[in-house]
This record gives sequence, structure tokens and C-alpha cells, in this order.
Amino acid sequence: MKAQDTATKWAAAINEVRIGATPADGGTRRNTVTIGGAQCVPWLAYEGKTGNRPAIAVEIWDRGGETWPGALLEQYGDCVKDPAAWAKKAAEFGADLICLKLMGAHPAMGGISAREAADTVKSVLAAVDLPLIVWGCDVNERDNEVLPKCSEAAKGENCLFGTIKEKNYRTLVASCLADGHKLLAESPLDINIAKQLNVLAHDVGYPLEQLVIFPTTAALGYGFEYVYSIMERSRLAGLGGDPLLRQPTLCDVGLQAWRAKEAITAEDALPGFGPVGARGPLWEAITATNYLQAGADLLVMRHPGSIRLVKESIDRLCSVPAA
Amino acid sequence: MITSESGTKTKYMVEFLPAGLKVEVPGGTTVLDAARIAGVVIDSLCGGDGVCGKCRVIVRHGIVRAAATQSLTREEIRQGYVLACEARIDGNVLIDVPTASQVRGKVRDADAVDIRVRESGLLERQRNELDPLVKKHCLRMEPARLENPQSDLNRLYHELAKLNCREESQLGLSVLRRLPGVVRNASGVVTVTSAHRGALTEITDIVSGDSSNPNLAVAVDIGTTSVVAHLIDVATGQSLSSAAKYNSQAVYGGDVLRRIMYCIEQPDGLTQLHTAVIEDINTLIRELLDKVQLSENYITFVVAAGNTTIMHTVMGMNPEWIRREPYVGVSYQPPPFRAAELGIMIHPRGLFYSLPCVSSFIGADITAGVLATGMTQSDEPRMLIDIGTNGEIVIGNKDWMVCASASAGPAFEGAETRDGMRATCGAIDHIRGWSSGQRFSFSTVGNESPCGLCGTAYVDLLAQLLRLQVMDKTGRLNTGNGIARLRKGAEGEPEFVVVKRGERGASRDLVITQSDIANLMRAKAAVYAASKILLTSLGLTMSDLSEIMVAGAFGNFLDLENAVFIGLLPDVPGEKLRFVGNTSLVGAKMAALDRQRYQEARRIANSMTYFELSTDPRFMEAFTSACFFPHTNIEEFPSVMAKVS
Repeated sequence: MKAQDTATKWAAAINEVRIGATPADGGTRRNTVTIGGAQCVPWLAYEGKTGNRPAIAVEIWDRGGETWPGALLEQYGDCVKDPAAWAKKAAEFGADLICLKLMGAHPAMGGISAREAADTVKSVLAAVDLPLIVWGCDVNERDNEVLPKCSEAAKGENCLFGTIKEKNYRTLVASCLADGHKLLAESPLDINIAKQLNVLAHDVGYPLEQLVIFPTTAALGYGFEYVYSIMERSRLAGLGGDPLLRQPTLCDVGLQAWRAKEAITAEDALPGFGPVGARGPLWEAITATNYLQAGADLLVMRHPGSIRLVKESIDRLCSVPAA
Repeated sequence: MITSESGTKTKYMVEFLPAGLKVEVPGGTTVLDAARIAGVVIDSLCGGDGVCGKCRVIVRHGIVRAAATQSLTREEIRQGYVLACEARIDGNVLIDVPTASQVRGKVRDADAVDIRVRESGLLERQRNELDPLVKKHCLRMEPARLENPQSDLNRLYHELAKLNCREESQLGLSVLRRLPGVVRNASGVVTVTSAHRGALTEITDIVSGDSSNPNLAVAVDIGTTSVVAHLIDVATGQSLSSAAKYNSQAVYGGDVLRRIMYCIEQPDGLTQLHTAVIEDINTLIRELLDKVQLSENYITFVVAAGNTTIMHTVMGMNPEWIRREPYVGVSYQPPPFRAAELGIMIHPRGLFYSLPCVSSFIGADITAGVLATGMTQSDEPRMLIDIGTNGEIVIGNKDWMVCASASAGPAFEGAETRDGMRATCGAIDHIRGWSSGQRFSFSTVGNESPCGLCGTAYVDLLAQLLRLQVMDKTGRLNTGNGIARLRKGAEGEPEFVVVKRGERGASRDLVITQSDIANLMRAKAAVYAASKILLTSLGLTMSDLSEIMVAGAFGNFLDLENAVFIGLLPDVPGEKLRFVGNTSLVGAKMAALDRQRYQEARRIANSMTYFELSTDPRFMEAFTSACFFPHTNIEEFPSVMAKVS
């Protein structure tokens, strides 16, 4: 007797977004990374293709890296003072992409000029041949000043630039349209705003198919469940056919995980928690693997130990044969 | 009054200048009546009695018949002047209404209501069978005789029975005490005023002689933000005059909850609210009477509709418990009271009727709306959307009726926006395209110089700003691109100059600010979300509705296409959308003229089911997704999607 097939067939697939450009594409990257493409809810391979393998972008800062927690500085050492060297180290640790955050543009971190920021982007592109994510400092006025120059400097490299927000999107959309970059659309844990921002970008000419969405990330124990349910609703809507939620999703895991007290507080202050050197990477790895279950397509991470653990998880998830 | 003499059934076309409005009327209709039907307001103090000489118009083409009058000079007659109230149509005519005869400072929406009522037939059906709440009967009393020694009151009842007034009557002691003197006048003629009180009829007054004409009533819609009143001739069912003003209670709070708080917190708060709204009603009544030069003694009753809180304050009942769980009012269906007890200045023995409310948050304005639109008569489900300070939604048919309420704010009523105003003279009421001269083409009420924007103009304006991409779909003004007319106003807030100072005589720049847009966005989102949730709760969709009727704040005719474009109204085929005007007022008027309608309003109120949205977790979600032009779920607006792409 044949068992009844209970698999759900979904109306649409998540968009595939390719980041990076090889010499053949007019860029200088060794390879490109394509994310998205799932035709089923995360990892239910019997319902459809699970899509492209989730990618890991390793986070580096142009300035202020020395403020990172000790467990991370142990791994990166003096590299955190030089973005190019830091990028190389990140590549060694298994990065699929480099995620460069231009913290130096923040007024509290020195408020570097647009030219300086653009030079940093160039130096990172020269140091590694991985696809690049360029992320602003989250101060709208500064981002609008700095990111267009960086976009111009990276023209042809098909980077992922972020972030556009509901109240600040026009400048970066225009730059990325002109210079051929992908865009990261950030919404504050709100599925309506996620959709609205996609419409706004679309209204000023940006193709929906080239957007990656960033629904805001929380660390395990710090609102993770809430983010999970938002991502799940968003993914179900996208698979159900809503073109405004069919974009692949990025999770900024490293930043959040390495703010959790469980990840960074020394053992003498948290008796019974075990050595801090093991806790941090585990907190980051568990947060990241949970997001894989929520449908994350692109994870931004920090510690080589957690990157290794998450890669192993991805290997196992991807080894499930399709129906 | 439309008079048609025997044998003159032929209809003629009458066109009025400068408005350009046309109307077809039977021969013999006076020019003044034709003007009223066409929606042209001609000054007339005497109400058409031919004595004031104010209603001078010029006949440009065609023939009218007019009796001789002393109000016009020989020279004027030679130029074609006639008195509109005297001249009767006797062919197709072109009439010019000179500036001196146009009424200025007049609220057009109130006038428009009457016109729309005629057009939509809401009132037509009952014109022939008027059965008003308060009637005046003129009768001749048989004198008492030895062979028929009936008491004075019995003889009065006997005469009333001859007039088919057989209801059980009651009357007050003071009226009874005056009876013997009144009936023993020389002619034996008396006028009896009888008022409907459910199963009983109350004889409220008896006077000597015939004073049965006129018998006037006032229908009043008491909104949170605006109060609109009509003076009705009970004999014909026609509105003689109309007036409107803002609700003076606004100084105590913009919405009903704030006003309830004021009642609770201030020792004499309720008295202040009561006095404010009663003074508004009295002001309007004085204005209504001034326009027709009649005394308040002719007004025998007032019928009012408004939301539950406002009706409480009108009657001086404490609304405190409306906002406290379990949210109950003092009375939703109060009996008629002496108007004098409330301080309303009509005939000293006149009555005040309140239409019934449904619950603490669904008021008599909604009952009136359902009554006016005849929703209880249709098989197919229909939806009534009333856009006021509270947005109310009713869905139902002859078998069932559900309703919900959502706080929309008064932005579409022209309040709480920088240059918003009621639809009075000088209000921009429609905004058309952006002309090559880099300005909007627009129209104003009364064709006056623009001095503000009313609700319909805001609907048009939002649609235009979206089309011009001056504003994005979240409502943010696009300050980055050096768009002309976009500037930073006071405190750096972005604003768009709709009309520049000097443009068509504007005395200052008229703008829409970023926070105006936010207010309008919230208002439209609340209305749409409420209708969506109510439908979802019923397991229905917009396409299951045979008609969506829009009532409320909008001064005149709402551009339905623009209203859909901004997501205020659902995107359904145009023929399913109908603008029905101020149904609260129309319902009050219908009840005033027909006792059965008044009783039907009570049945409607009793049969309506209220859905509480504020405790429904889906409402906030629906509201957030509606805070976008036209909507976050653009697929709910297929026609807009088609236009945009």
C-alpha cells in the first residue's frame, strides 16, 4: 500500500540572488556566491528543492575592531587594525563572502570621509578575491554621504550594499542602480515594513529580484523566537506567491551573539557557566544554526570556531537527498 | 414647494449661470425651486413669499411667467430681472444669478445633502405619505350642548377621531387646565399639537384659532467635529434651510474619549460639554430661522442623530461609564424629552427626539445611516462606511446587520491639519491635474479665492502627490530631489505648497505638511482596516458585497477613483461604490417625517451586532498594513496596481 503524499507544493520559489563578479562578469572576484532559490520551507527536501547552500559572510570593521570581545581578538590579533589584513584572515577562516562594516563613518567612531571609506573598500577588494558586502554605519546622513562613493569605488564588483530603510532609501538605491550592486533592505522586525520597503525601492526603479531582506536579527535568548516567527511568516508568504516577500534573507548573527552576556562574561562573574572561551563561539553557532531553520540564506558571523560548526551543520542539512 | 399647474406637465430644461448647473423641471415650477433642485443657492429671506425682493435673477434666454412686482424697477425689468420665487418656468430657460443674489459664507455640504437625497431617492418614497412625529391639527370644536353634555376633552377626542387620529392620547395637567378657555373662543377653531410617543400620542399644546401652518422640524446631525442642521417644513417634507458649524465641544477634546475624560476630571465638565453643544444647536436653529424669517415657535420638534457619547452630552447624561469596562451608557434609546428641558430654543412645548444608539461605541448616526440607505430592505449584503472622527462600518442585509467602529481622527473633516477647513466658501474641494504652469488646477466652494482645503481636496491631493512622486507610498515627502514647492516649514518639518500666495487670490500659501499626511494616513488606514476585519470576521470578501456606500465627512462629491487610489476605499468595480452623503442627517429627517421610520430605527438599533475591534489582535496588524498608499498588500488594489505598472 502506498502512503499518501502529504508534501505541500508551494506556488513560488525564493529569488536567487548572485553576489560578486568574476573577470568574465567584468569584476575581479575568483567566484560568485548565489543565495536563495528554495522551493520549500527550510530543509523539507521532500517538498521541493532546498535551494542554494546558505552562505557565510565573515564580518570585518574598518575601524574600532579592537573593541571586540577578547575571544574574537584572540583569533584575529592585530589584523583588526587593518581591514585588508582582517579580510585575508577572514578568508582563511572559511568565509564565502566578506562583510565590511564601515563603522568609521559613525560620528562617534571618527566620522571618516567618503574618500577614506572608498579607499578601504578598494583595499579589501584588492586583498581578497571573495564577493563583498558593504554595510554602512547606521547613521542615515553619514551613510548617504559615504556609501555612494564606496559604491562607485566598487563598480562592477556586484557587491551587496546595505542597508536601505523605510525612511532612507533613495540615495543608496540610486547608487546601486548606477553601479550595478545588490541591495540589502532592512526592516525593524515588521513584515509590513519589509514589504513596504521593497515597494518603495521598486517604485524608484530597483528590481525586486535583486533585493536581499534583513528583517533584523536577535541573539539566542534575546528575542530570537520573535525574529524566528517573523522570518517564518515572511518565508511562507514568499513561497505562497507574494512577490514582495520572495527575497532571500540575511541574518546578522555575529554582532548580536557577541553582545549576549552568556557569550562574553567571564566565568568568575557567571559561576557555573563554564569557560568563556567556549561559550562565545557556541552562542554564535547555536544562534546561527537556529536561523538556518528559520530560512536564513546568508549568515554574517565572526568566530572561526562557530563558522566551522555552522558549516558542518550546513553540510549535514544539504546532504538530505531531494524527493 | 414645487407647484405644477394643471395641464403643464411638460418638462423644461433650466440652466443656471455662472454655476453652469442644469436641471429639468415641470412647467410652472418657480425659478427658486428649480434652483434648489439644481443645487444653486439663491438668496431669499422670505422663503419664496415674494415679499423680500432678494431673489433677483436675470432671464438670459427663454420664457418665464411672472406676476407684477414692486420689488423691481422698470429698468431692471427691461434688463430681464425677475424674482426667482415669483417667476414660473414656461419653456427652456437660461438664468443668470447675479453676485448680489448668491448666498455667501454658506455651507455647501448641508445644501448638497438635500439635493443628493432627492437624486438618490432616499426620501422620495415617503413624500406622499408623510406621518411626522409631531402633527398640528386644526379642527372646529362642537360647542357643548345640553343634549350632548360631553366633557371638553371628550369632544376634542371626538374631533381628533374624525381626522383619523385614534391613538391613545395623554396630555399634561397644564394643557388640560387651559382647555376650557381655548375651546370656547368665538369661532370654535383650535389647533392641537400631537406628538408621537411610541404607543401613545401626547397632546402637547392646544391653542385657539388656526396656527397649523407652518409646522416646522429641525433635523440635526451632531458629529464629534461638525454639527449640521436642516429646517424642515413638515407639511411638504422639504428642507427650507440648512446650516453647519464645528462642534464647540472640540475645545474640551478632539475625540469622544478625551471629552469623557474631561467630564470625569472637571467638576462641572459635563455641564460645560452640554452647554457647548446645546449652544451650537441653538446657534444653528437661529441661523436656519433667520434664513427663512420665521419664529422658533413654529418648530415643534427636533430629531437628532449623533454618536453615543455626544448624545449623552446633549442630554446631559454622564458618559463616564462608556469608557470603563464593561463600557455601558446611561441609555441608548432615550424617550422624547421636552426640548426646553435641554435648553434647546424651539416652541416651548416642542419635543426633542433622539434616534436610538446601538451600543456605547455605535451611535444614532449609524442607526440613521442604515435607515437612510435602506440596508435592511436588501437581500444582498451591503456595506456602509461612515467616515467621520470615528470611522464606522456596517455590513448587512434584511436578515442580519453587524457593525464596528475605529478611531479615524478628524483629518478628513478638515480639522487637525494645517490648512484644513470645512467645505465652506473658499475651501478647495477638488484638485485636478498638475498643469504645465507648475500649479494645480483646482476648484473652490462658491468659486471664491482659496483659503483652505476640505476633505475631498485632501483625497485628491494625496493621489496627485503620489502620481507626481512628490510623496512616496509611506507618505514621506521626497525632500531630496529639489522638487519645486517642497520646502522645510516651521521647525524644519517638510511641507508642500499646494497653492501659492496670490494664486487665484489666495492671501497666503496653503500647504500640506508631513504631519498632515500622517494624520490623513492614519484616518484612511483605520477606516480600511476596520472594514477588512469586519468582513474577515464574517467570512466574506469585498467581492461578496453588492454595494459599498460611503457616507460622512466629505463636504461634497468625493472622487471615488482617487479615494481608491490612496486606499481609503476598497478597490471594487466603480458601479459598486456609491457616495451617499450625510446619512446621519438624512436618517434623522426621514424619522422626523414618518413615525414608522422612527420605530424602524429602534428595530435597527436592537438588531445590530457590534464587533469590538480594539480587543481584536488582528486589527492592529490590519491597521499597520493599511498605513501605506494604497496598501502594503498591493494585490488588494488590482486596479491601482495596473495603473502604477
